[in-house]
Amino acid sequence: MPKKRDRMQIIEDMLSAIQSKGGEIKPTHLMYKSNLSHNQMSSYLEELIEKEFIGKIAKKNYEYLIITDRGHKFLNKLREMKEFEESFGLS
Amino acid sequence: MDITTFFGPTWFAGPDLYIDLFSALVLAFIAITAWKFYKINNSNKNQRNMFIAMTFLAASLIFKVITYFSVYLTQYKINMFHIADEVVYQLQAYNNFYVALFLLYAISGLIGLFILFSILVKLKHKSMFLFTVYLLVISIFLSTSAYLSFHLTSFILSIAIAIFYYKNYVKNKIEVTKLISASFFVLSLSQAVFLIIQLLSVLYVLAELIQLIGYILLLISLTMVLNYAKKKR
Repeated sequence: MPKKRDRMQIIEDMLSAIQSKGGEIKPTHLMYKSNLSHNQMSSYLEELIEKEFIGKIAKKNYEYLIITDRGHKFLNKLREMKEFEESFGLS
Repeated sequence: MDITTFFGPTWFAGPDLYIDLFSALVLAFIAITAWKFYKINNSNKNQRNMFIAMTFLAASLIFKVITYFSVYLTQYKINMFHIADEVVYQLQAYNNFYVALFLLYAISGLIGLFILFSILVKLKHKSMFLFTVYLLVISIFLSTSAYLSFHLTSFILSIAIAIFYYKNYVKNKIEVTKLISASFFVLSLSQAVFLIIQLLSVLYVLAELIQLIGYILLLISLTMVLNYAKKKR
């Protein structure tokens, strides 16, 4: 049975999803790519926008979510943390 | 309690302290990294425990440096006055200062290793943890040789940690975990050589050099972990 994702794993998945799409993504695509319900995503998104890891832009009448520099840096930290935990047997 | 400490040749008095300082820095680097990650995700208590373990181990080596530096300084003063001129010497530390420092070095080293061991074996019960720490401390106080007791227990804990990391490597196939396992095998080997330096003082040089290799491997492991994450970007 796959392990339940914790909060940090969900945030990493969301930021990675935006990054893999070249830095911008539509909210619905983000929801599918990060495997979240609408309510879950809204709650996480609110937090990530507040912390300035994610921003919003309008393009051709559509709203897009973008990953900010702060978001890139934070994602990098999360990846370092994950590597550290797995390599040193802390997970 | 007998606190007889064995030393290496006099020409190595000094370089060994640099090796210990370098080792303490590597441990402090890991401790800081663990603390930094714990601040990001404080739900993972293992990060906090890793920080505590590495801090104890780094502190242990700092206590060793202070202890040995004091001894070398004393020996230097004795040599200046031509009271003694030995290549290999043994210190019977009647002085409370040496005893206290040696005990801090040994006890913090054993506690650090045991915390790391308890993370890997996923020891959950706090009472079991405290009881084992008590046994480790008491083994130093009640043994006929605190020096041998400390290095023997360190050897056993280090080898157990190395085996656990190797088992983790077999399970997760992460190359860095294999390197961490190798570094603890090397460190356990240095503890084994520390155990027999009373036979030949030059073995102390060998033990310190093996320890240096162990900590270089550990530093490479940490650097690989941090760089690998950057490459994934």
